[in-house]
Amino acid sequence: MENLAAESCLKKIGVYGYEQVEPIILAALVTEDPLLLIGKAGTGKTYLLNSLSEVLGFEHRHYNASLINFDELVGFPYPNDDFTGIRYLQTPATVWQAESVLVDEISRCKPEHQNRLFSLIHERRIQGISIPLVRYRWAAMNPCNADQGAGDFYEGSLPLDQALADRFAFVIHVPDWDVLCESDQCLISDPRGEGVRSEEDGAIAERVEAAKSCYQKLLKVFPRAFRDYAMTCANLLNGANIRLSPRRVRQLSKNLLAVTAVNGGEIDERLFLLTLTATIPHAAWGQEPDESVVRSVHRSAWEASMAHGREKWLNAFLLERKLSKRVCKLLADCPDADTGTLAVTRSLASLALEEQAAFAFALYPVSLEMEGLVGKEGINDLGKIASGILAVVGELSWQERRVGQPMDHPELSRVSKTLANLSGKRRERASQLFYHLLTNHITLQNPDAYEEEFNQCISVIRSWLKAQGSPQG
Amino acid sequence: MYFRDPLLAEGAGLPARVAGAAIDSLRLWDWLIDLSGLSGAVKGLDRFFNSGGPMTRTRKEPVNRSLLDNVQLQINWPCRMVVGLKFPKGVSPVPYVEGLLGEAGYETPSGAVTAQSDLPDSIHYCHPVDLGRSKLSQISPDSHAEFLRFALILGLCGPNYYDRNRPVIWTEGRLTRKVGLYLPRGFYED
Repeated sequence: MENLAAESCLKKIGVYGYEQVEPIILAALVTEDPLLLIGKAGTGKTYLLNSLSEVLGFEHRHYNASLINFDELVGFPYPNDDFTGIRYLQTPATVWQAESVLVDEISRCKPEHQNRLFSLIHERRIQGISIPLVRYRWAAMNPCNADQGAGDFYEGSLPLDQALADRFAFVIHVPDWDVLCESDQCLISDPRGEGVRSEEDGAIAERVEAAKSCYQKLLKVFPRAFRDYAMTCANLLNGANIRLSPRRVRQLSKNLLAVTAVNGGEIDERLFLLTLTATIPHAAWGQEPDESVVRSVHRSAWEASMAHGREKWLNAFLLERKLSKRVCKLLADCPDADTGTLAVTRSLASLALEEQAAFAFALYPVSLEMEGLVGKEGINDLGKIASGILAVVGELSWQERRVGQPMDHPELSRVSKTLANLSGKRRERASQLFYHLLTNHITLQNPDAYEEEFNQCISVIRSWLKAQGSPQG
Repeated sequence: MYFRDPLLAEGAGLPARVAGAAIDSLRLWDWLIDLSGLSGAVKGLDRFFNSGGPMTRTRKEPVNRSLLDNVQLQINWPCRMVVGLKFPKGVSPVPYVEGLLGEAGYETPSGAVTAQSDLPDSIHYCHPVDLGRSKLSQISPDSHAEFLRFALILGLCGPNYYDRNRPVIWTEGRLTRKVGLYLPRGFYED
C-alpha cells in the first residue's frame, strides 16, 4: 500500500506504523460506526484514538472499563424539581455531552458493565436514555486470554461477549514493534516528539469529509460487485465454520463502501481484503480465523465478483457447493465448450473423491451425447472416472472375527439400506456408484443424502435433455 | 489389553473341555503348561495362549458389475462392435497400417475416414475388452480393406470414447487395443 502510506494522515499526528490499517480507521470516521482496536500493551491504541478526537475537535471521553464506575459515567442521580423523574448531575467526566467515547480495556470489565456498554456502543444509550451527541464509539483491548501468544500474559483480558463484539463494525489488530519498518521504529523511539503540538492542520478532517461525500454517492448506487463480494464471502466463510451473522454481511457491504470512499472511490483488491479481515470480529472473543482461510475466501469472492465474462461464470460455477447446482449451471448457461472443460477439470480437481465420482458419472453420458457442452479434454477427464463406474471390476474386502456368525461388509450393509428404498434405473445407477466407491475403499458419511444429491443431478440433466428434444430426456 | 479365545471363557477362566472330552480344569492347566514348549508342534495349542490381539480374518468378495452390454439390467449400453487387430508376427503396427492405407489409395488417414461410409457415425463409449488369443483371431479381419477399417476405428478411439469427427491418431498402443464400442442410451430415464 505504498500510495496510501505516502498519504498517511496518522503520521502527522505522531501515530507511526498504522499505515496498513489507516484506511479502516478513516472508514470508521466516515460511517461513524463503532471501532475496536486489539493490540498488545504500548502499541499506541489509546494514543491514536485520543489524538484523533483531539485533532477532529470532538468533545471526548476516555473511560477505563476495568475501573469504570457507572455513577461517574452518567453522573450522580437526583430527583427533578417536582419529583416526577430523575436527573443526573453532570460533570466533565459524564457521557451526556460527549461526541466521541473511548472505552479502554473493554475486555477487562465485569459482565454487568459489558451489558451497559453494549447499549452505549450499539444504541448510543445509557440506562435506556439516548445520548444524541455521541457520534463515535471506540474501544481498545489487549488480546484476550484465548488468543494470547506464547510470550503474552494479559491476566484479566477476557474474551468479549459475541453479541457485544458483533456491534463493532471494524475490529482491527494494531501493529507491534517487530512488524514496523525501520523508519517507523526510529520515529517512535525518538522522545523529542512527546508533547509537541501536531502539525496536522485539518488534513484528517478534510479527508474524512471528502470520503463522506464519496461514501454517500457510492451508497446511493451500491454497485453490484460490492454485494456479490459480501455475499460470496459470507457463504464461503460460513462453509469454513467462520460464521458471519446476516447483520455482519450487511456491515461488510457498508464497510467496503466506506473504505473505497476513503480511497477516493477507487476499488482496490488489497483494501477489500483488509476490510474483510477487519469485519470478521472473531478475534475479539479469542477465535481469530486462520489468515490463509480468509485470504482464500477473499480471492474466490474477489474473482467471482470482479471478474468478467468467462472467468466470472467459472468462479460462480465453482462457488456452487451443491453438485446438482453445478450441473444445472453447466447445462443452463456455460458460455462455451472450452469453459465447460475448465469447469469440469477444476471441479474434479477440487471435489472430494465421492463427489468426483457422482459428478463424473452423472455428466459423462450427456457430455458424450450433446456435442459442445464440454470440450474433448473435459469429456476425457469425466470418462477417466466414469469408465470405472460404468463397469466395476474389483474386490470387496473386510475383516471379520474367526468365530461366530459370518458378517457382511459393513459399508455394503449401510448402502444396501439406501438401495432397498430405490427401484428401477435409479437403483441401478446408485448400485454402480456405490460398488465403485466400495471397491475403491471410499466411505460415505450419509449414503441416503449422497444418493439423493446424485439423483438430483440426474433429474436436472433429464429435464434439460427433454427441453433440448433429446430422446434420452 | 488382550482378547481371550471364547473357548477359554467358560468356567473360571480356564478351559473346561478340550477335543470334546471333559477334563478337570486344574489338570488341563497343568497339561498345557507342560506342553507349552511344544506349542509349535501341537496343532491349535497356540489358541490357548494369549496371542496379543483379536482373532480376525480378511474376507474378500470379487465384484463385477457392468452397465455395458448387460441385458439383465434396465440400463444397458449395447455393444455395437468389438474391435481388435491381430498383426502378423514381427511387423510394427503403425508402418503396417500405413502400408495398407497407401495400398487402398489414400494419402492420409483422415482422407480414408472421409471416404469410408461404413464407420460408425455417432459417438460411442469405448471400453477395453478382454479377448484371448483365439477370440482375437476370430474378430481380427483377414481382408486388407476390413483391417484398415478396424485400424481407422481404433485410431478414432480416444481413451474412452469413439468420435468419427476427431483426428485419427495411430500409435502402437492404440492399434493393439481391443475395445468394445457401446451406445450410451437410457441412462437418464426414470
